[in-house]
Amino acid sequence: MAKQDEILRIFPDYMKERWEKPLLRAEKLEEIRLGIGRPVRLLAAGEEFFLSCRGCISKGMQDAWHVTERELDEIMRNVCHYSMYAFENEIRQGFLTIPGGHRIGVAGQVVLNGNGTVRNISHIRFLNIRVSHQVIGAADEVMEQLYDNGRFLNTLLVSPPGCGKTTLLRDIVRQVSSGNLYGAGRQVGVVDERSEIAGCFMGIPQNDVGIRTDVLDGCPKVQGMMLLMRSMAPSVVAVDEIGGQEDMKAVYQVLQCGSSVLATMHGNSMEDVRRHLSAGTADGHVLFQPEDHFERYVFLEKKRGNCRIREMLDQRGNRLRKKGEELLCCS
Amino acid sequence: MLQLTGCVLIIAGCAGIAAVICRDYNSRLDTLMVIRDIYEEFKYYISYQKLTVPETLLRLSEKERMLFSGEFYEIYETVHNGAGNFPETWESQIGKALAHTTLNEKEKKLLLNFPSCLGYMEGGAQTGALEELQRQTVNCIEELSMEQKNKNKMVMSLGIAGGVLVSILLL
Repeated sequence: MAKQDEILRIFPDYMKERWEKPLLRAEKLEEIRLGIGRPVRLLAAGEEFFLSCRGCISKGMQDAWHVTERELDEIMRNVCHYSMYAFENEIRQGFLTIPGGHRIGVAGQVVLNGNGTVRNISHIRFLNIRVSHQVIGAADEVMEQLYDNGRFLNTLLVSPPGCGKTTLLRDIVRQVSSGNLYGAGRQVGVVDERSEIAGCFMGIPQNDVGIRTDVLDGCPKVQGMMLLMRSMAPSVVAVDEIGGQEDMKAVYQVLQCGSSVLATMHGNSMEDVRRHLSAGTADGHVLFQPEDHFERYVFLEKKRGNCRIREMLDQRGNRLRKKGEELLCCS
Repeated sequence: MLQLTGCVLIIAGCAGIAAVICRDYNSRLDTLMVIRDIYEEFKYYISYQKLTVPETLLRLSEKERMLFSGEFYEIYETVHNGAGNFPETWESQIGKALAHTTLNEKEKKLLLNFPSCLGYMEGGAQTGALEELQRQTVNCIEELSMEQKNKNKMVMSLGIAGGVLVSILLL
């Protein structure tokens, strides 16, 4: 199904006509933001546009369509197939994944449990439809360096938010799973806590994550890694946004079992990596030093709206050459 | 001999008409019991399997000899493929199916009103709303059973008595 049709299905029949024109450019569309009493905003290629009731897009908000409570309610019912209860857990986490791997962020009035945890969002007032754009081939320039004699090396992708870590991780998973020039296809296990990597809808990956990839969707990272090791025997375990001692202990256990780890984390430098990922026991014994285990570090950055790979380092901190790049000096 | 045969046939005919009236009650009762069972199945799929309404309808449509299974499949197909919204599709498909039953308007609404009880965010609340519809259906079944018990005897007696009366008049 075309991306345009996938997004169009979010809206009730009577609204579809308004969306046909803006969705012609769905490939460039990044976000659709809806809020009760607020103009409909579209974000595409880093720019903001407003949608009118007649389905026209403009930079000014004079004729902008202001969403009513009833309209937002109908969109939610339509997205959930009139079965909001079936998406109770997703709504509690603040987002829903729909066919095509697109994500709908929800916000509104939160209902808390007695222990302070989120029970539900009772009045959904804001929606953020994030259009999924899988970039096939995003990892092409790093794949060569992630293998050593056919073995996939433990790899950490590092960048501040919004620089394309998950996109890169997804493509590496796809290539490792399906096989590539540098290594045969391997069994990959993905712990997709926030449904961002595989974009599962009803447990089925909506993004291409390769033919040998098992996905544990919506599962906390620590439990997920252990569960995969026990049940699915993966050669490579992929996990998004690790950080903190518990995550590192789980990563350590995966490595002890002989599997490789592919992970991402927020940060900007090796200092950040060391600070966030070192783990120890209560008696001061150092359990995990990132440099002892991760063999490749890929740093990403965003420049002029484009995400790119800033540099790749090996275990000793030596700079590695990207595909097609001539390295002038090595530290 | 001929007169006697005629009288027997007239009485049997009248008794037959009475039996048809009684069968309508049975048919209404059977349909209401199916509706009650549908809600029971819905509750199971919602509470334990967390299936969406269209998926539940697909499961129900796969059950052998389930009344409305064809309509359930049509609704699933339409909603799942984004070809129509759920309340309107439900109303048109189930409305058509109910038109072939002997249920009265109030009883038909027990199933037609199903979409109005949807929209709860928690499984427990949604099951509760379904229980209310199921309770109304059970009440209808109880009322109709009582009515059937009382009226069946009366209708059959009146049928036979009517047949006897017509026979006497014709003699």
